[in-house]
Amino acid sequence: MLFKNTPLDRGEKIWLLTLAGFLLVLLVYPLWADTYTLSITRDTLIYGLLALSLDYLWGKGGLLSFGHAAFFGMGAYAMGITALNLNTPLASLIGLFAAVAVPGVASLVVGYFLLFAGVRGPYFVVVTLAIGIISQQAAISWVSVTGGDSGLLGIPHLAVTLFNLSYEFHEGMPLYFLVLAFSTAVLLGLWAACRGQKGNILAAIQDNELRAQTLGHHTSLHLLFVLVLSAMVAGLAGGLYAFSTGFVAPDLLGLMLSTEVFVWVAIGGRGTLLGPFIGAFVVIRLEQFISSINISLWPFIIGVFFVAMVFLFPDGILSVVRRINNFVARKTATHHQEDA
Amino acid sequence: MSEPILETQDIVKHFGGIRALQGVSVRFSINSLHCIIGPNGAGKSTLFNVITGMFRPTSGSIRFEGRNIVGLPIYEYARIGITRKFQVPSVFESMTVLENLNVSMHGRSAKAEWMDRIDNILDIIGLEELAEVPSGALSHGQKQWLEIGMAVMPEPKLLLLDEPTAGMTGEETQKTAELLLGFKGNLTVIVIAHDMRFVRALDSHTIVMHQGKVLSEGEFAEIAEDATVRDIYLGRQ
Repeated sequence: MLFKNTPLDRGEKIWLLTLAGFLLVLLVYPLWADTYTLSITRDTLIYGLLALSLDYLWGKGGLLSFGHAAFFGMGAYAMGITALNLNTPLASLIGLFAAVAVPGVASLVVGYFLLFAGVRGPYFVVVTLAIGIISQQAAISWVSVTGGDSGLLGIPHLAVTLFNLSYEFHEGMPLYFLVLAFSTAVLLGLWAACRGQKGNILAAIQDNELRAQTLGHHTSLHLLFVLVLSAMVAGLAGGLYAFSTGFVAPDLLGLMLSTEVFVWVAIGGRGTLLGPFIGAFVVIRLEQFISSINISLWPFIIGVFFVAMVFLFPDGILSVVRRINNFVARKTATHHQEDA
Repeated sequence: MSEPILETQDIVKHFGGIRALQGVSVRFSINSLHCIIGPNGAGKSTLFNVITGMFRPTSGSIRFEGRNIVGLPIYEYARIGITRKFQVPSVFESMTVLENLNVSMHGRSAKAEWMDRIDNILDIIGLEELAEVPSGALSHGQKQWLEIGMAVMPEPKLLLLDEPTAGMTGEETQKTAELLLGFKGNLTVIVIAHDMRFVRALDSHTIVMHQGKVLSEGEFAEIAEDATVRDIYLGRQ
């Protein structure tokens, strides 16, 4: 395929360099971090992965989901239920597979009926909002399977068994690096999936979907693909969360988390893929810092912070880089027009 | 007329009480240029929208290469070889000229030939210098040409252009006429036009629409001579 070999443009080089910088920091970070701080960073990475999945859907596909935590929670519950109930050494691996598959199938069914019926924009937001609430209620009510309000406890860590060798990812560095590896792999995978023709088609759909259709693109199918992949990534994040922290509760599916994810993506920079991780880091760190001073202060501060961000950097923290890039590109354009 | 590539039969389109098309039967021959003219509200754009599947006709049939195409999903039209340019320029402004052309290809076939084709089209529409520029930064005329370029990217058999010269300067209109005349013999082009200088420059088979019907059709010279057409449309020029 031609566009697999597309040379990197300047923006992409900057993006990759930024990623490499963050990765370097995260790779050496365990050298001085204690187990507790490391577990906080690990959870933040997991939330970043969830935010990434929303960014792929919202930033690249143009579909905002306000119930994205539902897919995260589905993944977490699928992981937890499988790992606790299956009696085989492979239970946790099967659980991780289920964590990806369950939200994938759920989003495929929901997405087919919504997207092929032309549900877009605010209507899509409202329906996903309802999906989040329904999933949370289901998790609370279906006590025999989900443990109801108290959720599931004691979910074992991921263990990989190959022939007679078995390895369990323990608390501390093993879990941290496992999560870091998954996050990096998914981030790079989605980034590659958004390059070239495929990314252009998604950008075109966001710009003018009807126009994209008249160019021969089955836009509903493209969007369904994005939704399902996004739900699967959210589910993977949920699965990682379940075996990392060892517990799952109905909060993981709820509106509160869905809203927070939205804030992380908006603050980090919609459509940047890397931004959501940064947004999650900044907001969660800020939350911990402020909560340690005064618990009731946090909702107020995050509100002010969010409004300030929308005014100052409507496209998120990472948009500063893009703005400079666009400015240079526009300069070139005017020069060309003067020449012509 | 030689074998038609597109033939409509008795197309009727009602919007509530408004009868936008009242039995339109037209034939468009292969690899030739056609103009549709007529006053505002004559049903020209509605006819385009019905042909390209945006609206389903209330009744009547549309045959493309002998096959009935009524009811196809919108994205199928480009795949069977029908592309269009909208009245308002609708290039994807956030993307560069190159990306706009790139995204105008569909399907998996012959990707290796894309770059050659893109180069060729950039040359035809005169935007080779601006390939890397965001299309939002282009002038109005350049956007119109880019959109024509996008429409011919997938090598269509039939190209529909809705007022491609709207808002263009005289010089740009002239360039557009030359561009379209260059397509003659390679694909069928149907143009909706308001600007009589443009229609005159194209000098081709012309259909005059009035109040949802075909008033008359023929070569431009004949149409221009027609007393009725002059009265309702051309005479005031």
